[in-house]
Amino acid sequence: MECSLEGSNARIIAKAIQSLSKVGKELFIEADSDGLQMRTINSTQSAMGSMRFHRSMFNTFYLPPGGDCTCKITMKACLGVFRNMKQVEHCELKVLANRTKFQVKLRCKLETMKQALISIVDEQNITTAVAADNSPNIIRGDHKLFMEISNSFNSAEEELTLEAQTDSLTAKNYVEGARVNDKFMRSQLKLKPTEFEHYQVAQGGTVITFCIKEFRAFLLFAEALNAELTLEFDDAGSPFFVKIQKHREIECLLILSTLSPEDVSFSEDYCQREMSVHEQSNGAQKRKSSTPGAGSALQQKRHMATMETTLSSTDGDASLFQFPERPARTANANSSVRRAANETNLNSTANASQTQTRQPHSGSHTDVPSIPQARLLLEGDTVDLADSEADEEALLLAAADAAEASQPTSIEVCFFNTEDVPSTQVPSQAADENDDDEIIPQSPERDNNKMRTIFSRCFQNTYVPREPSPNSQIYAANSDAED
Amino acid sequence: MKFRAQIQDALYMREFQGIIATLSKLAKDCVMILGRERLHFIVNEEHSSTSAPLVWITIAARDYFPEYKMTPARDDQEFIVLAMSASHLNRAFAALRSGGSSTVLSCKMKLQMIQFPCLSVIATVTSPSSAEPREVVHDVPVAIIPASDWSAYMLPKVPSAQFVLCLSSMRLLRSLIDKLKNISPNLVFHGSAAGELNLVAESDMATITTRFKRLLQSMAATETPSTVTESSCSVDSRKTSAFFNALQLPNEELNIGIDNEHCIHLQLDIRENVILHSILPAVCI
Repeated sequence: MECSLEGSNARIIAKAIQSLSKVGKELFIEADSDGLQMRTINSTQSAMGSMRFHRSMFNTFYLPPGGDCTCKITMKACLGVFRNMKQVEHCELKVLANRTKFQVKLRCKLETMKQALISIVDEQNITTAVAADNSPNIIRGDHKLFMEISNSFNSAEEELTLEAQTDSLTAKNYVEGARVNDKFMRSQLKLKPTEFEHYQVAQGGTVITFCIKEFRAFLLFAEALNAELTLEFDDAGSPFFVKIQKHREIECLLILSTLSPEDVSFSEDYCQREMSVHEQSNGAQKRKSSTPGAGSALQQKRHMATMETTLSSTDGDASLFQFPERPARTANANSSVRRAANETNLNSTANASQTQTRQPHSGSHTDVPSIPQARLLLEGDTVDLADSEADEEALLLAAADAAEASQPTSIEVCFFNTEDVPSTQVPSQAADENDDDEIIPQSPERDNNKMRTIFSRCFQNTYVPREPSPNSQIYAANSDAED
Repeated sequence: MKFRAQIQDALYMREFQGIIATLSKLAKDCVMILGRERLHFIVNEEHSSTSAPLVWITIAARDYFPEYKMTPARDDQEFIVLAMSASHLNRAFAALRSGGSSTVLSCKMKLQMIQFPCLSVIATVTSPSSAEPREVVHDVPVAIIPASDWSAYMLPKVPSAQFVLCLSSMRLLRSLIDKLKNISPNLVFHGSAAGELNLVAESDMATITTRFKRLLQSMAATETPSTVTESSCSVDSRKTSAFFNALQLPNEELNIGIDNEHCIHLQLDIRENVILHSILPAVCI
């Protein structure tokens, strides 16, 4: 990938990076035939920011012969390079031929040339299994208006609650009736719909709560572009979208998780499972045990039923950012660790034993051709599922089967409720294992296993009251002489 | 127990905001005493740090608020006494600081019970970007102080000073004290019947005396006209500086009362019936 752009456009890119840096610690750059795209995801995977710059913004734009180009670089390095952009007249971005370095050349005034090489961490990309359209509530307004809303709250505030009614919009720093700390000052700002450019709220209204930090980051970029902001959202618990669009050249999308209504105090648990990470492994050099041919897509069963529309990302129509030609490897380490952390002791031990039984063969068959295989994982969080949701599980299974049939190079990873797992699944799995030709090894389990044990340890009672410290050797006797 | 007040005049609102901003610069917590006719704020000296001086403000409610309703908990009581965070209160009134951009139509204060007692500050603001008025509500959590504890929160008495000198502009005094605090931990205020105020800062290396001459003597000092011709008091310079740095009001006139070897009383007349007082106690050298 190689592209060049004028100083003013480079400054916009720099602003974009500054905004994205407030969301995540890594920057995912992707170049395709439409232009350049930069994305980031925050550490808890509750927010994903994406900014697309159209090809017309660039003076020259070359793609590598192989087609698209993706890379992951650290945000810190990137921020340093794009810090002082006032003097820049011309900018060149390039991924070096061996794909290990991302090169930035900045030509400044007085014929000064700044050149920076940022090492590429991984050829990785992220996608979200969230449909960004068809939200029933759409609010569009000038960045100044949203800036005023944002500024009327303390900068230390973490969450913002929007109460959208058909006749008013109320921004609050608290969820009605949720917080009980008597040192907390509640603030609210009530606006009329006429202040907004476009105000469409479904009958009955909606209350959503989201993180204000990432929202402010995007607001900053909207201010730099002098563009309008569009908020799209459905219901509490389903994702919240912030869109910025400028002359069809710059398109930005911020996906934020919102607080689930049924459990306000345990909101973190829900925030983390709104997105999945699709990772394209950097060949065998990074992960030796990974299977080069086999691809799999992680399907995270969302708690909310609204996500059903995006059931199968390998089918190609639901996920936002796709690489249909390239099989994507699943990075489910994080999410499964989190799941493990949420699981009860019983579940996690069962999980561990299951992975242990599978591990030996995963190491032994690295060279066999790829064949679809459903992997069983326990979904501890869905224990409280209702009957209707059990049906969804069946749907999911069916979708997975369909995907297998249509696309032999993909693996659907499904999560089953412990109670809902059909007992016939396990024997069929065993049968698969015996059939050597048809087996592909699993993606590496080592990390998962290790982290799982670490996390399960976090939840064990390690504190024994009668032993105050592990090394309870007494170095000085009690100086109180009376006893 | 009920309280409700409303301001509508933009000038009063800005002034009220200035008063609260001053309070929030002085201390973390402030006490609000709601009387039938007057509204008082007290910022008490914090026990942990000695840098904040004792400041209290008295506001005649009728002049300031077109609507002012206060009903005490019991009929025989005179006050409602509330303690609250000064910074919260400042944030709540920050919307009134209309910097030419937005205009505030009205501001209401209400004592409410929302899970815990709150002083709700409701401002109706029109921003420049749109004609529609917005409603900004802040619920400042307050602690209601029971009548049995009121004795600790009563308004201090204005000390009887030998001289009260009126300084027409405190701009010079403010910057001077800011510099003198780096030289000496103590400042000596020296007043004389001739209308002269000497400000003395002493260190090992130097003694700096600043003379303010031909100051007007306030009428309050005429009780003992002939007996005393001079009076001086040494005060903590950090505390003095803290007072001047906290002031967020446009007023420039300051009355300095000197009670010999006892205390300095600073009085800022924001307007008639709206007065800010401060007492700087004497320190031993």
